[in-house]
Amino acid sequence: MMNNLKNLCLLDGVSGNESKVAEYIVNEITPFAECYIDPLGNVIAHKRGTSDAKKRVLFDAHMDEVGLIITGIKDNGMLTFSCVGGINTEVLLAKRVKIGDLYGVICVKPIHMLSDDEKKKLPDKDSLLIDIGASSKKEAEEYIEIGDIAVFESDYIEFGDNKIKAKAIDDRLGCAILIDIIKSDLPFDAWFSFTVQEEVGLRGAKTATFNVNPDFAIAIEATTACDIIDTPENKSVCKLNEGAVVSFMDGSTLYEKSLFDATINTTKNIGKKIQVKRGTSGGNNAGAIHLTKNGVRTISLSIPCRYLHSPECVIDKRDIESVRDIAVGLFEQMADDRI
Amino acid sequence: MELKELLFKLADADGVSGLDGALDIAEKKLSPLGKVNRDNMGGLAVEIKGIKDYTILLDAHIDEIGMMVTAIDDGFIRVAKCGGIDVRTLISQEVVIHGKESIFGVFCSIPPHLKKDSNEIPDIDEMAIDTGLSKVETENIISIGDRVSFRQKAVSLIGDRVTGKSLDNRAGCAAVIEAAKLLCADGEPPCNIVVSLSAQEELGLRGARTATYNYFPNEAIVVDVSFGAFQGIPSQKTGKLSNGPMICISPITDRYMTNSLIDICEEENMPYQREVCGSSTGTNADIISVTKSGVRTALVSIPLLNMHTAAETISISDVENTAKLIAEYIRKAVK
Repeated sequence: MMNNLKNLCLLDGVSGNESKVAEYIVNEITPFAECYIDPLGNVIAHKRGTSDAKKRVLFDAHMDEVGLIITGIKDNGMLTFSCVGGINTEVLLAKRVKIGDLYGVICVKPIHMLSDDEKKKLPDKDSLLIDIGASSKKEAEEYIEIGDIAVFESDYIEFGDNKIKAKAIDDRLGCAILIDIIKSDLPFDAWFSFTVQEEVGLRGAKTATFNVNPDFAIAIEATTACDIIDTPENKSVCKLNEGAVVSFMDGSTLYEKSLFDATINTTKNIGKKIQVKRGTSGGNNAGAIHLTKNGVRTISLSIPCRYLHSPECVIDKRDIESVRDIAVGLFEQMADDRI
Repeated sequence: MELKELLFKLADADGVSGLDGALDIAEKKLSPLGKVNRDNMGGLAVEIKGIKDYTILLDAHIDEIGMMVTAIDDGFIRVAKCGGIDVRTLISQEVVIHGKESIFGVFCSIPPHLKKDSNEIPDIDEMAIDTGLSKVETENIISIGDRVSFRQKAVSLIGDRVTGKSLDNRAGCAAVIEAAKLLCADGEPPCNIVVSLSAQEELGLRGARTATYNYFPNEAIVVDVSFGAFQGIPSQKTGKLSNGPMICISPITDRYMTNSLIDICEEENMPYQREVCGSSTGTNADIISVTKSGVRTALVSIPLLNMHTAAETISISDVENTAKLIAEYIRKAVK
């Protein structure tokens, strides 16, 4: 699984451009499950288990990541861009991106030439430019077309105490867990969706869930951990190395109480760690999934992740197993109609 | 290309004041040319014996902007600026902490889902670096005062542009090393040359002060970086990347040397740009020129974008042309 996680994080798959990730996933799961790609680009897989399932359960993880899209080329050869997905301006300044094989840097005015007021304020996001080294519009046009995608340049690094740093852990970790589950022996049939366009409004999950038409769904995600210095305990949301994260409510879903309780009980029974997300910010594919057709009973399980939506996502390896095992434990009860 | 390789090696090496990585690389390059001395400030110089008993000092500062550890708090550390780092760019920036071992760290950020609507930049002492370590491990490896540098390898952009950390002023170091090599290529250079890769420029032009005192040359040429043309900053204070070295015209730089540099560019059809400063230059030229009884000093700068960030960007042709210009100046000026 760790190898898949690394490979997946290093692939470029900004929302609407997930095909490289989809290709990788199809390649990994083909021997273990039947799969197809739907009109939006979602990878949908069906894995045979030992028995037929009494209820149809869908595991979901999204393939897309936040990034940038080129919106124009200035006369001096610099590129204007928009963000795809929610990205704060402060993580962009003087950072390096890749546009295909080309490197680019997000430029800033030199600090020496700023007024005192400018030094204290972030520049306007729309004023930021990417430099690919071109001296003129003409030169840039030889390499770039408007609409090209830029991704953060960020290595996959293991560091500190069991920590991993990479871009796109949100939600390639979910993809890696789903691949791992597909490759394992399951007691019941299971369905999987690797979805597109989560970061731009939970769009892929809408059509994928419609297609699969499940009774239950488990969305595997990465969620905001703010267990960092200077953040009071009540604002930390969740913490690294405290296990999987389950929410009672977030911006897009009020989670069903019986599923929430089943999640906590399952965790106890299998001896893993879980934490309840403190706060209701954010949202994930559960929001789209649970409203599909006449409604799908949905829970989401997340890995705590620091610095979400930046080039520098940080997770703790020890939390991965909790997320995976609790998801499988829940699946077995759902498929057997015991919840 | 040898110059490009040298530039990349120098840029990737550690050189926040107090770290020796960049010095080691420069020493390897310079030791075939003459006797290399390291000074008390953390700088390095090579003395190259020439035909005429006349000494020209080529200065480029070798230190880079960075940070130093001021506090350790669980797995997080606080830092102070070591040089005029652009604090706006630190959030989500990767760093190397040079403790008992060199470890990875990243500046904390608050994700968009939790962030209050604010475009205020925090002060550096309100920021923190995440080491991912436990409290005990952090304290075992890191001490107050340890240096912290940007983690950013140099890479090529299109054309001949290069981006990385510390191109201010490894670009200048590469240029003066290259100039010395050009002058030594045909045997003894026309006069004595001191290549002085000076320390602590970013902390107040300190290393150049003592190095110049030590070698007290007849003339000095300082090579540093200057502002590349960019939207929103006055064009008259900038140079265009790839348009050649910026020759400084200012009250503190020697008019005769400056005119000679310009004449050479005109005669040899070499690219150059004029950079005019109304008073001092903010470079080592300011201090070198007033050492002891005075040293005639010229300043040549390489235009650079995103100064004092991990995304400094230059054009290699500007480095190459700076080296050629200096070599040509020394050949012509010393007769």
